[in-house]
Amino acid sequence: MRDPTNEELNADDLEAQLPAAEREMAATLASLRPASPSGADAWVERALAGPVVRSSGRQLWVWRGIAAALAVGLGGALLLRPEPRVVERVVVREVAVRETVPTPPIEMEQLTGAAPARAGWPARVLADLFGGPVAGVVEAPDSDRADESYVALRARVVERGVDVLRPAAGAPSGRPGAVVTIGGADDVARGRVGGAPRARRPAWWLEYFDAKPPL
Amino acid sequence: MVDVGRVRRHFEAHAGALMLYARQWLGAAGAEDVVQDAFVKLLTQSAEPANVRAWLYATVRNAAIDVTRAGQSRSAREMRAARSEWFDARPGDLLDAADAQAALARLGREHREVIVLRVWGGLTLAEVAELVAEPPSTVYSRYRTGLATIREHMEATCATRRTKN
Repeated sequence: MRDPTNEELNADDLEAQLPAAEREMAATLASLRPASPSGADAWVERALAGPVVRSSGRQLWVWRGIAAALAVGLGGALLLRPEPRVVERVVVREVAVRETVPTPPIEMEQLTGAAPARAGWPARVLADLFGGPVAGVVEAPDSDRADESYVALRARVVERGVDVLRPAAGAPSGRPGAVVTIGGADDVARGRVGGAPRARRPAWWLEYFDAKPPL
Repeated sequence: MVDVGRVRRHFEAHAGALMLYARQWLGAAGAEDVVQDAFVKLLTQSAEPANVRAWLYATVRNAAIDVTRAGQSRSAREMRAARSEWFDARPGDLLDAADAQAALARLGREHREVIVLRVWGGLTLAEVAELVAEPPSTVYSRYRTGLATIREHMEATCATRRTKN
């Protein structure tokens, strides 16, 4: 380690050894006055402006730091982002799906007018059907209408449930026809109530159209 | 913060020699900037350095070297253009300022630096050795050799003038 005191002594000793001519030359040179800078005012002004300059310099470094941090973050995100998923093959698998058939909406009109008003048929038509004047028509119960239309039947099922499709417990088997009274009490009724089962016959209106040409 | 009045006195006492010292690396404008920056730096110190003169020369030296490294060609060009401004010529001078400057310019930078620090800066050889980071013996050798070279140049110049006259 250097000893400043010892070095200073050594330097002084060395300078004492300087020849007189060089010593005189040094004294002569020292008489010259170096050119001075423009003045003290300039650096005093700079000293007063120093804090502002340093402050702007610090702000510059802050912004540089923020920019560097953002750049590092962006670079890291680019490097660490997951690789895009490559679809190597597509496997198609058929899966059995229970298909539900949408049910058409049921109009109120269909519900209320489900049963055709057979009693309102013209008397001429009834006379043609039954071979004479018809005194009156008694509508069969709804449950006995086996030949009614699909829409009416569905409407009844929707309204009352599937029980309407089963015959009543005490009801006679077979197709109960409509009770029609034609003329007197002895007249033959085209439909029967109860009795032994017989072969199912087509709907009454089909018989009508089979017998008569269309109107 | 160092007192402004004290720094101003240091400026009046050392600014010229510091300018001469900075011109070993820089031109007039660059040297002036470096010297003023050194005093600004001194003004913003929390306490005045123990050896203000040595501190100022060290600050100027480091700054001048940094500036020189940043723009070597510009500094050389400025030095060539500003060679007549090293000294303020006065009627009572024992030496011609231009001749002294020419003699100094003939020296190598290492020799010239030691002479400027010792003659116009007033630093001891030990302080110069510490500043340039060289052993005192080396500094002394450069100092003596430099002075001898200047003396020979000045004697030759005077002899030439006497012959012309």
